[in-house]
Amino acid sequence: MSDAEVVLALALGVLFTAGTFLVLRRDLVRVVFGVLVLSQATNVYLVTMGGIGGVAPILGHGGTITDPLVQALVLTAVVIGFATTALLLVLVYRTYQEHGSIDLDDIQGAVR
Amino acid sequence: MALPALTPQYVLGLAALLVLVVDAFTPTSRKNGLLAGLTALAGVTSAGAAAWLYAGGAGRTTLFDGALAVDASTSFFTAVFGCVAALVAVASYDYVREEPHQSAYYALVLLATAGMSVMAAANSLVTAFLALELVSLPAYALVAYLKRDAGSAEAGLKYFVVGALSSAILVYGISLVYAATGVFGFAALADAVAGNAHVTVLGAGVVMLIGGFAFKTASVPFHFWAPEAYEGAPAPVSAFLSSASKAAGFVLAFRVFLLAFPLAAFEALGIPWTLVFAVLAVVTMTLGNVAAATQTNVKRMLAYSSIGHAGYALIGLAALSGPTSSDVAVVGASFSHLFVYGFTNTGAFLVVALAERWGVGRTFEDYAGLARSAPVASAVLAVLLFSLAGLPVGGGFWTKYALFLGAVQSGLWWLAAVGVVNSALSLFYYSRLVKAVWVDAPDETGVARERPTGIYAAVVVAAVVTVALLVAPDVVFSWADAAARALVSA
Amino acid sequence: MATFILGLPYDSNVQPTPDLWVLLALVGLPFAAAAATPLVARALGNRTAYYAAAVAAVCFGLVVTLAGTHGGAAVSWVGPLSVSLGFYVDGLATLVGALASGVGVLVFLYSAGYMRGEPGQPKYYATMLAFMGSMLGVVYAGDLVVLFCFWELTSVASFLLVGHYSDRRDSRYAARKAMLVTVGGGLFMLVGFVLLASTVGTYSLAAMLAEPAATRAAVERAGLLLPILSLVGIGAATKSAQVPFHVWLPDAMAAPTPVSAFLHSATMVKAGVFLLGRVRPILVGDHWTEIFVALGLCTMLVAAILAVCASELKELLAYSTVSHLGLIVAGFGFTGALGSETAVFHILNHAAFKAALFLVAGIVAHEAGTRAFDDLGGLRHDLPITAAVAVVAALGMGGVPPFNGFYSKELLFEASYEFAHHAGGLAWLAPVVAVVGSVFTLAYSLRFLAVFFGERPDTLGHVHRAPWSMTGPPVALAAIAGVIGLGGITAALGAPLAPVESFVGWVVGATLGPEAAGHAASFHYYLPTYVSPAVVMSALAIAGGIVCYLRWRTVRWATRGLLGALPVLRADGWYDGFVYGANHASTRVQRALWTGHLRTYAAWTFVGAVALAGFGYLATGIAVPTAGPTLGAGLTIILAVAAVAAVAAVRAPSHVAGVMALSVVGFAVTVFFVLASAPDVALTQVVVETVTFVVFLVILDKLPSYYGRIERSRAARDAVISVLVGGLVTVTTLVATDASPDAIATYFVENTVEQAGGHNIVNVILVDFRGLDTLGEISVVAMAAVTVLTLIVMRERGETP
Repeated sequence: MSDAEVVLALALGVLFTAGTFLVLRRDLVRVVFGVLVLSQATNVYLVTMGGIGGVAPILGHGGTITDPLVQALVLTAVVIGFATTALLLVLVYRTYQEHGSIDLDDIQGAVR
Repeated sequence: MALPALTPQYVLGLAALLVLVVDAFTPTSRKNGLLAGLTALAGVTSAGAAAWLYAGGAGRTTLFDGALAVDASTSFFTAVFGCVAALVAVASYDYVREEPHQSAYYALVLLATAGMSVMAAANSLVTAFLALELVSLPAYALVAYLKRDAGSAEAGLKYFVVGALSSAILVYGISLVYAATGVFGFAALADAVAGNAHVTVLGAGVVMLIGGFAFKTASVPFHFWAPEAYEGAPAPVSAFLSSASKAAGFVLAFRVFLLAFPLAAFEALGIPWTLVFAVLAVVTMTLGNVAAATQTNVKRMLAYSSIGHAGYALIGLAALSGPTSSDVAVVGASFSHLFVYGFTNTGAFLVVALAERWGVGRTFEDYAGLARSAPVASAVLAVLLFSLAGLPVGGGFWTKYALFLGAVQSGLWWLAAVGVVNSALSLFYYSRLVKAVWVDAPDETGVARERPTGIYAAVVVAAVVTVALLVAPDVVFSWADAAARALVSA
Repeated sequence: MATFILGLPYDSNVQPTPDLWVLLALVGLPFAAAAATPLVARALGNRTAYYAAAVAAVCFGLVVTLAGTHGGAAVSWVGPLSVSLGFYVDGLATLVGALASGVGVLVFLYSAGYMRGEPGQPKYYATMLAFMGSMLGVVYAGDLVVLFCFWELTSVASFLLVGHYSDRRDSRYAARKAMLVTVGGGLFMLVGFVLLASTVGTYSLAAMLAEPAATRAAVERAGLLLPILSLVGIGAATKSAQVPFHVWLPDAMAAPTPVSAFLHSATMVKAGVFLLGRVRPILVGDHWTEIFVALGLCTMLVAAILAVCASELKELLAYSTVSHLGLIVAGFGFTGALGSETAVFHILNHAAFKAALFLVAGIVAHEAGTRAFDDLGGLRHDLPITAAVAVVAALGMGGVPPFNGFYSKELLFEASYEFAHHAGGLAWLAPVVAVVGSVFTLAYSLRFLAVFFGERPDTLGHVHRAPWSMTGPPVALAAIAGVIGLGGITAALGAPLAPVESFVGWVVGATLGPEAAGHAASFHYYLPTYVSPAVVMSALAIAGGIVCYLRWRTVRWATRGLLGALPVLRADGWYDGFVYGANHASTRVQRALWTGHLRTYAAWTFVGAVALAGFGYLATGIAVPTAGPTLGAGLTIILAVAAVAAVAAVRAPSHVAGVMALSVVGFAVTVFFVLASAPDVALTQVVVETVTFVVFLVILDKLPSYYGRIERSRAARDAVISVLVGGLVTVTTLVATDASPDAIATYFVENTVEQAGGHNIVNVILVDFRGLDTLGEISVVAMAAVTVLTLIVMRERGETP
């Protein structure tokens, strides 16, 4: 792959824009949405760095294969992303328990 | 006796498992002491093993197909992590006595320490990312550990979200670097960046990586989480994060930038990354110190000052200039600063833990006249704070001095000047606390204070080591020197 | 000093080098004694003072044994920084060292009476001893870094001592002010030292002083003479309270009087002038003279005016100290031997009379209960011995012949006249200012004395006699001052006081620049018996001073008016302004950056990332490649689906709808992975996506359905940030996909089957080649599990929320 990918670039741009906008919201659950969208988008991006034009990196299928090392990294990132998502959701739950609210404007200030 | 190169890491990992196992088989009443003891022992043992490895003079050992590389810098920082973990564990014995799930607490401390020591040995970007996550996750959990404390959960959450964003930025940076070079290993990267054709991608990737490290080290622009996380967290955890976790972020940054992104190659490409670090160092130290100046909350003041100290340590990356000898000097200065800071800052936060346990309150006014009822703790606090300010009462003086000297020798006069001005500014707020404790009069005198053995022992050890490092800094300096040499001339 | 009493010459070249162990004992003993003080105080109680005095006496003895030696002694301290624990002994060190320990003995004895029964004695004596050790360290330092270390320690000790009366607000303010000013100045000095050392190539003072001419040449070659001079000068000026850094000293009078006598007249403030004397042989020259003569004389005049305005004893003495330190600085400022003689002799004289006067002020305050001039008068009947001491000391301070201060002031007049005669022009200001300053000096000295004479105010109650422990030390000091004064008369009669002359000559020798060396041993002082310019100046000053005193009310009205018109003279403003400014800036930064809102932090994180990447692009010069869509239709469609779903998640009207949109994003990404030839990743993604979906629904069930309205202004700002991030990603993707990886991991392709026996390369990498990374991944997941468990059960077991 050696040409710039306009479609890919635009799609990633939209994903990141949406994710960022969500993270900046007051609603804690939307913040979680945002973090998830961002991590999805990062994974997509990572895979494209290994090339998406080749065939799957399984020997014996012939042809130019895509970069297996990147896919290994993405796989790791996906799994870790799951772990962090679970943790994040639990933290949200804990925060709701303690504050009785998921509106970040209500939550701000307990620490100060 | 030749130890396996990863002995400290094994010790920490196994100890974490052991803590969880012990939890299942001991009666509740005596568990806390046993767990704290185990954790402290593991910390000390790993630090001792690291010292042993260094003293044994083993050179660079590459393991697991190049994923890890153990050298003098690994052992140096593993010793820092081990010592801080031990201090924190000893202090936690008193602090978390009333809390549930102590085994999880200690296990998380140990796992995080293990993760840090892996960070200190990372030799590829993938390992670096993993180790970083290995440290971050327990950190989020530890911050949110306090039961029925709204601040703790909130702090954990904020820390987490900013952390998740930063780690996304880090992964993004890694992918960009990979896009330009096609490799992850540090040594292979060093070869691949020389004369690389994709300068733009590489440059963007490198600055993104800087962002990822900035989060871990609480440097600008990813420093926002620090004050609230440190304030909301249990004080021993704040000590742990602001000392050990910060040092871990730094050692990783040093490894990546010294081993994988040789300055000479990058300057040839037109990406002088030292400049980025110089700017970040100035902004970080200034912002941290200015924000700390009017804090009324002691823990928060220490949190901001910890940002300031990240700025000082960044000088080690900003003042690299090429010649081996001066680079070794400035990197070694930064290393020893982090070493001394590990003890001094941990001690300061643990004094706060002590005060929290006494219930004296959180603000400067609450601390007023503490010297009357707790002279030992107050003397310790004064020594630690003055050492943080860089006055010659503790080892912090030498390391700050060495850092500024390094900056001057690399021709970065202005950086050293900003550092000096910041030191003066830091004295401004440290002296406020010392004044509160020693000079200001309390509302009531003669309160009898209990002496929690664990925290007392930890703060006294921290202070003694801090002063000892003023009188006899040679041991640490020569170790730091060897550690710096291992990275600079690798 | 034993040798100097025997009258041995100090300028011979055969002086032995000092013994390192004696020096270590001298500097270490006070610190060890300070550490032991809490225990000792428990046993001795009010008599701890004698213990401290004994320690000081031992130190004085050690100073005396070192008096005949000259040179450096060092032991390596911090190898990698090439700092050594170096000491250096010469005349100057001996003089100031003898002051620190000798006045120390007297002040400790005085404290036995003054501090009797006060609380906090262990802290007081421990800090005083530590201070004395630090001062001795400064004095005998033979290495710039060592000097700096002890220098800052004196500031720290001073901080604790000034703040001794912790229940008083002014003393707390003063303590911090004194420390911030002096420590801050010390930092400037350190920068100067680093510059000096980096040009010379060594930190050893002993080495520099052995070759002053070569050192100076090296500094001039590097073009750093002026920066070094200014930086070291700032250090000296803050410590010696020179204008405009004098603001801390009057406030520091909040300390107990023995502390004021010891630190703020005889020793600590002398550290600054000591430093000037120390580096004088190296740095003296034209710039040196311009800077320090101007600084010193300006300080002398301004502080003398301020002293006239003072309304109580200690305030007067504080400003007077500043003024006399200005005299000493000016003395060191003049090139040549005459200037050095002025400064060195005045260090000695000033220590004797000013410490005595502080102790006198302490006695008056202690016994009469007030220090205000308006409430005091006629005390000579109540305190006859004290009055006698005051007469000798105050006339010395005023520069009246034949008292000791007269001779050094005479030297100043002589030096300033010669300087003006030599340089001409503006330099004539120097003698004029010196005379005007001296006029005020005599006036306020007489005002001080007036406390003992004239009418006794009726408001003054019964005044006790002071105990001997309190009158003894000032008597001893006044006796020394008196003997030095008498020496001038005997010298005029042909029998000079040889020990003092040869000692001062020896000290002067240590402060001479290379061009004036050899002048050393010929120091003489005497009551002049002929008319010279200096004598005329002295006569003018004395006459003016007496007139001023006689017209005291007018003079004070005038000076106070001047002060009212020119408040800048007090110069408190800059310190308070600095403190206020720092507080203000800090509060503002804090409010702006740490709002407590997560979104503020997140926003800054995004902005930071955009800025960093933007910087990267700018630094490398970006060129966005142009290219058309090359992806297949399938990929294009699936990416469009993901993008639309993400937008839907933003606009979702409820949490559940948001989760639905989100899972569409997730499954679209899965399909993308399949199409992008990453089947293993796709499989993992399916599993993860499903489980996440379930967990999400479970958690959402426990959360309220809050879904805040979006404010327009905030939404607009967030949209800008989001679009910035998105735009950056788009550009990055364009650039990055344009670049092709140079080396696709061919290693794995070639070795997978051979070494690991597997065909699915990704799997082989995960479980074999990079098994360690997978272990780390498993650890992360395990840890997350532990954490989740801990956090979830935390509140659910036992108590309910």
